[in-house]
Amino acid sequence: MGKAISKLFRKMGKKKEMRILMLGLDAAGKTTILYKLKLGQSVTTIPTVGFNVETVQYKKIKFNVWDVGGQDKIRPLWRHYFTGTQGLIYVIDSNDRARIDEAKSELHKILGDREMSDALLLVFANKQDLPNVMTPAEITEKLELHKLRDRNWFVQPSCATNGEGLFDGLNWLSSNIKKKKK
Amino acid sequence: MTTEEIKKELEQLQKKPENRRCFDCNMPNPTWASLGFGTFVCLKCSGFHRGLTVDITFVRSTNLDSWKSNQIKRMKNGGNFRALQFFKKNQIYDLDLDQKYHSKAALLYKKHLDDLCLENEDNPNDLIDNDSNEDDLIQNDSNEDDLNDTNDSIQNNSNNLIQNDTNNLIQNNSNNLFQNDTFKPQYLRKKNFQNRKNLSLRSFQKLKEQKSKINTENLSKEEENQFENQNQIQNQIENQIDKKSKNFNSLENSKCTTWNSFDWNKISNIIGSTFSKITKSGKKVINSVQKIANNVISNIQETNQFENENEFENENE
Repeated sequence: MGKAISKLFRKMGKKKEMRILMLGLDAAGKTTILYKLKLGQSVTTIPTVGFNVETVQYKKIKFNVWDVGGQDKIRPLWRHYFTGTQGLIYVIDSNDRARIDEAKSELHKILGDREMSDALLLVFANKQDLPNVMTPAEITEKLELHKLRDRNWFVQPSCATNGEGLFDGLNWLSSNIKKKKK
Repeated sequence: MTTEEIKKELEQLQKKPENRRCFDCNMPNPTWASLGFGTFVCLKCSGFHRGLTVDITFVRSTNLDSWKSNQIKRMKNGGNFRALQFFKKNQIYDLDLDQKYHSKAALLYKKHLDDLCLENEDNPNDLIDNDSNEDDLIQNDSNEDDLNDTNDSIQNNSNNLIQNDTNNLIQNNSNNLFQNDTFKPQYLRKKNFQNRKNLSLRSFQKLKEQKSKINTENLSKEEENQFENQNQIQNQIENQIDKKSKNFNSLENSKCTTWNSFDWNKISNIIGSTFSKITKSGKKVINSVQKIANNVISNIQETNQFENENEFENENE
């Protein structure tokens, strides 16, 4: 009995951690999102060659966010980051209609991997501040998210430069990871 | 092009002395490219270019991205040297990045590259077929009762097309830039001219094809006369084209600016679509076609005058 209580206390005191992998085509805004979450300010980024990793504290949950570069030829390296990922953040440039198909096929490639079968999927429809961008509904349709089976997904409109929608996305992640445990 | 060929071409482009320094900050050996402006830039500056949104430019890495052949074409049409010349002439090269790439001249240069790449495409007929203006004109004729109105609107449309069309405006603007400034890259003039010539000849051919579809048996006498007139006008235009192409051959690219300012493609398109009108809704529109054709003729005459006045100007360069 006493053992159980102490175990419970330990559990309550221990901060939850969540491993998040952030992917998307090049120039979608992954690094900008990461540093907006971490530092609360918009930084000028350069193309990511390799990866960035930061921990972000939100609502008593420690998010370990991995941001991996999205250039064509380094996309095959993404799979090396899959192991242990609880949540996938997939970032879309809502203004880039020309490459939405490419984004779709890359996304389905990731989701087809066995290591990612349990991961939550959060799509950031980024750059919503620009005029005439694709709406979240449009992106949902173009990414064919309705075809996904056994996947908890959510599309969140966002703007990395002013931070709109970013924490709403983390909120969704945190509340859905709880649901899963129950 | 195979991936191997693309890789080789890209390497060759990078090896050119002009492309061995970042366009924006002069750092050696840039490995990124800003496709909107056809320039090679360094990693740091590429970060800025990515922030400009895909409507303005698209950034590719020379070693981390796979390239497409049309992207290589664009870099061939561009390159750091040409961009440098243009930017310096328009006094935007020394501005800071934000001002530089949000300036009108920078956008104009991008649009100019767009045009070049479009015209370099192998199948210019696609361009003609996709012209939405033609569809608009054809749609207009669905209501025969309003024919008089439609005639006016055709007239207006054609005027708009010739004078106010945004594409034309850009074309004219870029021409002005090339005429008024001493910046007149030889390669631009020659290529532009050749392509334009081919395009106009092709669209004219298309026009003739369409005309041959008209059934002449059912025409009244009056209409027959008009049809004759039409043919004469067509011949006149044909002669003009012949003459121009001969002139071009003998004088090489000396008159290319006037050719550019005269948008053959658009004009033949207008005539072409009105001819197709005839086949669709009877021969009542012939009058308006004639008006438009007259416009074309007067345009040609103006262009000729302009050419004669400037005949030797360019040769002295």
